[in-house]
Formats: sequence, C-alpha cells, structure tokens
Amino acid sequence: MKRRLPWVLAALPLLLWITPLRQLLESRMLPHMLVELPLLFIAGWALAQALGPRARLPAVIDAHGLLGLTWVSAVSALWMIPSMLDLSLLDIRLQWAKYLAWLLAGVAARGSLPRAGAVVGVFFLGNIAWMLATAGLLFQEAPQRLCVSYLLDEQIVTGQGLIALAVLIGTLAVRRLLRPISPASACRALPAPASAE
Amino acid sequence: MSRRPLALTLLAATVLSLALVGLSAQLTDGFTRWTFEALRRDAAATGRLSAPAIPLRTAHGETGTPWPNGTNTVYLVDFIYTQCPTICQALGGEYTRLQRQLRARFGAHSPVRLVSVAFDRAHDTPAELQRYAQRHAAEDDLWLIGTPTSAQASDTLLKALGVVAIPDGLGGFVHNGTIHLIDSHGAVRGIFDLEQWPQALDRALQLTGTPT
Repeated sequence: MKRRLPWVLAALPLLLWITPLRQLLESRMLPHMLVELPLLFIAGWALAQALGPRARLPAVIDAHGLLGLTWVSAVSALWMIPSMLDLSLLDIRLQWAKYLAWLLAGVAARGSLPRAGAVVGVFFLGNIAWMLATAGLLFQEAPQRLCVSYLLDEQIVTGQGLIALAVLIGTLAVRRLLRPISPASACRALPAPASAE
Repeated sequence: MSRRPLALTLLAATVLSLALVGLSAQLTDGFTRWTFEALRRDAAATGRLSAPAIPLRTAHGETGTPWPNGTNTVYLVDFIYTQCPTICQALGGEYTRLQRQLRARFGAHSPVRLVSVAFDRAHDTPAELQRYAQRHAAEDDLWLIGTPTSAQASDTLLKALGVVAIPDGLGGFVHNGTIHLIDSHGAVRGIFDLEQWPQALDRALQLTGTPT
C-alpha cells in the first residue's frame, strides 16, 4: 500500500477529466487556488516520488536544486496574477498549461528540494511564502473584483487562505533552517576534494 | 561541487527566469494590466475585440441582428438580465438618459443606437423584456432590447466580448456592468464604466463623424 500511495496521488489530476468535478473546483476561487493548484503540485511531487531518480532534472543543470526551484517559484508567481485565473477558465490552452505547469512544479520540487542546502531551500520557500502573503493581502484589500469569474466575498476569503498557506510554508522554511544537520547532508554541503574537480 | 554544474545551472536558471519574465510581460501587457477586465478593455481600445453577428429576439418576437451592416451607425451595448435589481437597473436608467439626449438631438435619425442584450434566457422572456422596456421608457427605434435567439448564440457573443456572468448565490448574477461601443462592422471601439456614459456617447458621436 505504501508503494502504491504515490501512484494513487499522482493519478489524482485524472479526476479533472470529470467535468462536474472540475467545475466544482474551479467555479469558486478558494477551491481553485487552494485545492486544485496544491493538488496538482502534490500529484507532481508524488509522481516524482514514484518514478525515483528518473524524474529528477540532470544534476549538471540543477546544482543545489536551483533550476527546479526557480521553476516552482516562477509557476507560483505566474498563477498569483488574477488575469491568469480568469484566462485559464476561458481559454482551454491556458487551462492545460496550468495543469501541466503545476504538475511539473511538484515534480521539480521533489527532485530539487533535497539537492538544495538549508540556505537555498529557505530562500526559495521564504520567497514563495512572501509572494503568497503579498497576493493574499492584495486579494483582501482590493475594493473590487480582481477576477471576473469570482465574487468579491470569495476573493477576500481566498486572500485569507493564501496568507494561511504563506504562514504554513514560512513555518516549514524556518523548520528547515533549524533542522539539525545530518552527517550525510553535512558531507554534501562540504566542497568536493580538489581531486574530484 | 565542481564549478561547471553551478555555471550551467545558473545559465539555465537565468534563461528560464528570462523566458518566464517575458511570458509574464506578454500576459500582462508589459506588467501594466493584471486583471482580465483591464486586458479586455485594452483589447477593445486597440481594436482587438470584435462582436460576432448574433440575432436578438425582442419583446415583440421580432429577430434582428444589429451588426454588421453598411451604415455608419454605432451601437452602445450593455448586458443585462431583467430580474437584476442593481447594476442592470442603473444601466437602464443611464440608457434612458442617453435615449433622451439622442432623441433631442437627432429626432428619428440618430447615428447612435442603444442595444441591451438580456443574457438570462431562462427568465428574460418577451413579457419580462417588455416590462424592462416599459420601466425605462425604451423606444423601439432607438433602443433594441433583446435576448440572443439560442443559448449557443448567447455563449458565442459573451465569450467573444469577455463578458462573464456568474451566479451571485441569491438567484441572480454578477457580471461586467459596462457599456460597449461597437461599430457597424462589429468591432468593439471602447468599453466604458456605467458612470462614463457621457464619454461613451462623445466617443460614439466622434466615430460617426458628428460634432460632439
């Protein structure tokens, strides 16, 4: 069962083929941003977990997990733009781009986060938390609807949800920073011997 | 860690970042328009938005397609539903004032016509359209109030113009309560807020070549 779980989670996006379920998730702002998008991310993470090292970016272009984590940050930033939410509901190409981007963000995070040292990991997690919190505040403060597809009330609640998620990710970042360094990760953090250059 | 992977990684991350910054710039019109409504208005102002020819059925059962046509007429178009207690009634009120101005200035030969598209096909029956027309003293020769003849036609028009109506949870809808300036070819030449109706009228008259 433990080995099957990642595959089950990775298959979750297939549920989006079921139109009523997809509409249920996307017809309101909160489930769209705080259920569907994280679900796609988790599915990507689980897919990478199930596939193992095959799903990682080549180490030669992902030193310290920088490339994968750049992708995760960029996808998060892009989908905080209000017009992207509307466009993904009105343009089927953007809808599929959204699914793929978030799935790949999960894959990238699973492969790249373990490669990142404490500082790099905290930098990216902190950056994402800050971005979510900023978007959350804007969603709450905006006097009018930012998305034509959603009501103002939903926007305010989603803003609160984004801030809660930002706090959660921020906490994870701090926890990562305070985590005791294992001998294995300490070795990884050390510079390679000169002979290996 | 050898320096080569770090250099390649930094190069790849830079290329990826630049590509995504470029994409974001494209999607937000150079980081100036962050909402769909802003993008829609920009598309209208720059001639990238057009309204397909959709037949509308009036309260009298007549079917008409305002555009395209070979005249120099321009249309001020709003989207309403007759059960709406708020924005649509306000739009109706402003259209009454617009109608009064057009009648006073042009009599029976106005180059600017008013169109109200009722999108709630389930409730916007001919009788309700008639009630809406009476409530706002609409005159048939100046102000066309109609509902698209099919659900598909309605979807096509709303989607083409980026007009989104969402249930408000109280049995009604929340939607873009704006005035669309559409020329006789179906090109959207501007989108105006409700309170900007005098500017919408000025722009409409400019397009017809009439001094404002």
